[in-house]
Amino acid sequence: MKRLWVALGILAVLLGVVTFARYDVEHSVDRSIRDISQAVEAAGSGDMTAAVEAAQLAEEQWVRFEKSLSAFIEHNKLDDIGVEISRLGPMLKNERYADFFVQANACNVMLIHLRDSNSFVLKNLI
Amino acid sequence: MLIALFRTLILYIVIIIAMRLMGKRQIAQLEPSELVVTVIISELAAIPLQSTETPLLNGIIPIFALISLEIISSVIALKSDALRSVLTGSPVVIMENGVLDQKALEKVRFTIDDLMEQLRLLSIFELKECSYIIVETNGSLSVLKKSDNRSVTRGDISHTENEDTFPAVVVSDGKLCEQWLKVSRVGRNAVDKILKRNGIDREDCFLLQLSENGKYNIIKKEGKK
Repeated sequence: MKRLWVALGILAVLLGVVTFARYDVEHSVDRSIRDISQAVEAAGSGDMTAAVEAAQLAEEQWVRFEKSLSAFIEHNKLDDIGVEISRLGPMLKNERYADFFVQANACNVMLIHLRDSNSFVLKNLI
Repeated sequence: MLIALFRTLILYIVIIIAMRLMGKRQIAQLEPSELVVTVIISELAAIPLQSTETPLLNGIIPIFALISLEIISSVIALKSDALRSVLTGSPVVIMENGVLDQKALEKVRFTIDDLMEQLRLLSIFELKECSYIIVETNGSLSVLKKSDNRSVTRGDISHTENEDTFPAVVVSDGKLCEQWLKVSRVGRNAVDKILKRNGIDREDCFLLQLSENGKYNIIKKEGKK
């Protein structure tokens, strides 16, 4: 009977860990998408200084998020997204605005894919 | 490389804990569900071991989830015959009163060659030596030989004297073994008396085996007089 309680305890801990992991992924992705969107909005309205700041903030935030996400998500996936986000700032500084908008869109798609692949939906279960 | 070393160490500890939680069983005694869990665990542990890109939790979470489910299902199976039959199957009698049930043999997908091979491993070379043969849930055979082919037992020759009890190691390398003291059902005083009678201090005793019926065997430590 003691073993049964240990097993139930382990399951409860695992449930806690996976719930936290899901929350962490969703929170990190939502925050990153918001940061990138702010950079896009600022660039769209012609405020390039604010756009560069927002892009740099998005990059710094992602580096912070990576530390906790690396416990749950394959590291190369996180690295790929980090590399793509880090290109946004230099593109604005080099006045490659068209490339910036394309890159920002690509970053958002990658982040959404990451969130979707970790969400608890039938598509992922099967 | 240091990371790989430490990841291996962590996974090793995790697997040891997981297997201990599953309980003591030899590979040959594993039930089908336990065998499946054991095989999957080895695969799950190999992935994060080979790739440092994969988080350790991706291996650890499924391992502990499987172990927990295995424990829960085994506890439920203890209470429920129906679940036990689903999880582990039921033993199948393939020979009854010396008559081989060919349908049952087919049901367990044993060929006659498989059956003879298993019997030979039990030192039985002729089917006619057997009265009952049962295929257990783990695939091994249990055989009841015909009375003519069974070994003579003490009971057969009406020799019922109870002379052997379990000889427990009550002193090992100068130290009392509390666990075995309980088994041999003797107290510390009895051990000390035996040692005193033989003129040995407990610290100088390498081994003292003591049976419930009072028989004992003492080995002194080397170099002690």
